Amino acid sequence: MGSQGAFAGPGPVGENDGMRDIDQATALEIRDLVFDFFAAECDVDRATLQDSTRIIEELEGDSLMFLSLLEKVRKRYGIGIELKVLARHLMKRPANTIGQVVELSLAIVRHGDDVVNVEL
Amino acid sequence: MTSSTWNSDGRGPLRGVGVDVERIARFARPGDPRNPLPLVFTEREADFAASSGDPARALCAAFCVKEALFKAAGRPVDARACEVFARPGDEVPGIVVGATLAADLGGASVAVRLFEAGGDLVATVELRGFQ
Repeated sequence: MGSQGAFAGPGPVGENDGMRDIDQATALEIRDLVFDFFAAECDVDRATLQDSTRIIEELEGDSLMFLSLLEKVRKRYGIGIELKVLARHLMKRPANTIGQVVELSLAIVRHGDDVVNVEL
Repeated sequence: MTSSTWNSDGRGPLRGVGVDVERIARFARPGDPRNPLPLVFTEREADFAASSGDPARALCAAFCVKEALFKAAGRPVDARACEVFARPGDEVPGIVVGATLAADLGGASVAVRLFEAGGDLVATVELRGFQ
């Protein structure tokens, strides 16, 4: 995944048919949040992390870590989402790499509970 | 390596089993709010943990049981609809299953066991009952 691949494009953060638009600065902020989180949680140099870094195999990440990240995203952007909805999405579309978690985080901020209907 | 053996006195056919293990220390991080995961823990659970004498263990137990329940059900369930209240040393914690979740589980009985080993908590959840 390229770092620009998940961007909605330039534009304000706002509501659009139930979907929140995300400008490039916000998308970069979310990306930084995810990378900083995994670097701190896993005690690794952020510079060694890439989109392709596998969270379970390479960082020994787990569901608790993922939920802690989700809480950060949820609080920071005021997202209403149910865990059951997200879990259903993840069963269809697992997020195995940091890049996939960035994409998922962007989708959660954009769509909230509607993320279950989003194809990443 | 630790092992634990127990018998089940549950009634009805076994519909699912889930097991989960979590490190208690991960729920005792400096600066964590009283309820570190509001998507997972209800305020009642957070209140219980805070007054239990060992908040980290109580939250760890609740998380562990919810994960095991998810595995036993074989599909996502509403984590907050199963409240878990475990005091230090409890092998069988108190649980409250909400009506919606109970219906979602098809009326299955939920039997929970906990045991502690080397700073970890292990939870098992059995779902039993006729479909």
